[in-house]
Amino acid sequence: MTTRRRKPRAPNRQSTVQCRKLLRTISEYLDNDLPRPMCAEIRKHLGACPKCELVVRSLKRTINLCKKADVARLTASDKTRIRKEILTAVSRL
Amino acid sequence: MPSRTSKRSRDGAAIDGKSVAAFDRLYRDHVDRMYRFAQRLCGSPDDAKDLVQETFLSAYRSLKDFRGESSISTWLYTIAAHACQRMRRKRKGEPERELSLDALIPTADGDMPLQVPGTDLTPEERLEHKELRHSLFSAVHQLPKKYRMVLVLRDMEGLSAREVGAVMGLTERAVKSRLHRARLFVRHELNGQRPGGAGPPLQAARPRADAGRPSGIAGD
Ligand SMILES: [Zn+2]
Repeated sequence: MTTRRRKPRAPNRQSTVQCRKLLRTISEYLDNDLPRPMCAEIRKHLGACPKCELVVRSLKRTINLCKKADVARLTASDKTRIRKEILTAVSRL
Repeated sequence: MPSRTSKRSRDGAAIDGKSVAAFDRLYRDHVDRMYRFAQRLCGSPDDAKDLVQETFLSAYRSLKDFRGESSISTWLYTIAAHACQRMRRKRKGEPERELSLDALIPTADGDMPLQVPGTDLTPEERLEHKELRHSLFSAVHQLPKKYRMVLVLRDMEGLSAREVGAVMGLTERAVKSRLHRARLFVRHELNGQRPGGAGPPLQAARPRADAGRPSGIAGD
């Protein structure tokens, strides 16, 4: 008689499922868009799971980088030129 | 007080002094913001200037229809988003890719964190930061447009998810879903992990005295 043995579970299998679930919601977590109990749950997981903690941290930094990413300004002469072209186009039609 | 016979263009846009003055006020107040937005969206300064011109030309024509239901900047973003679509179609754009969330969610192993410097940078770090900013723009530019638009409006221009939805004609839910994918994509690109992805992996930030920060970069 053979007892069917359960497939040995990879030790982090369960946590991986939880991690993937969590990582689907981290943008909303970082934007403070989740209900409080869910945030608490996420914080608890992050405290116990360094991998997710790192991903969350790097995502947060990516967002901060976007917020601070500056670009060049339009020069005064370009401003004048564009305005002139618009007014010409409007009066031509 | 209409001074003289007001001229009208064929599409009905008035070109009398009063309309020009109203346009000038709009242009002066918002052109810098719209150029910033256009650059973030288009990448190249020349395309950005074209987009600004298209945007304000359309705005001029519909200025008389602006009812103030949305803020004037949301209104301009909407015009710019449409202008951007039009210009893109003219250039026979490549088909839009979808970003799969499953492919973007980091696997439990082998995903190392991105080193994005915080504030208080040393000169060396500032240089790294400059490179990082360059990588950021290249990553953002690789996003399919519909994702890029969401990320730029939300994370760079600072609109709320609801406002982004109003600009793009999307539900808030759809905005958040696209935003999450876009952010994960950019994070992934900045990590230099994508097989065949653009750009070399970033240099790890120098460890600092205060750093409880993880070190190490993917691709090492
Ligand atoms: Zn986890």
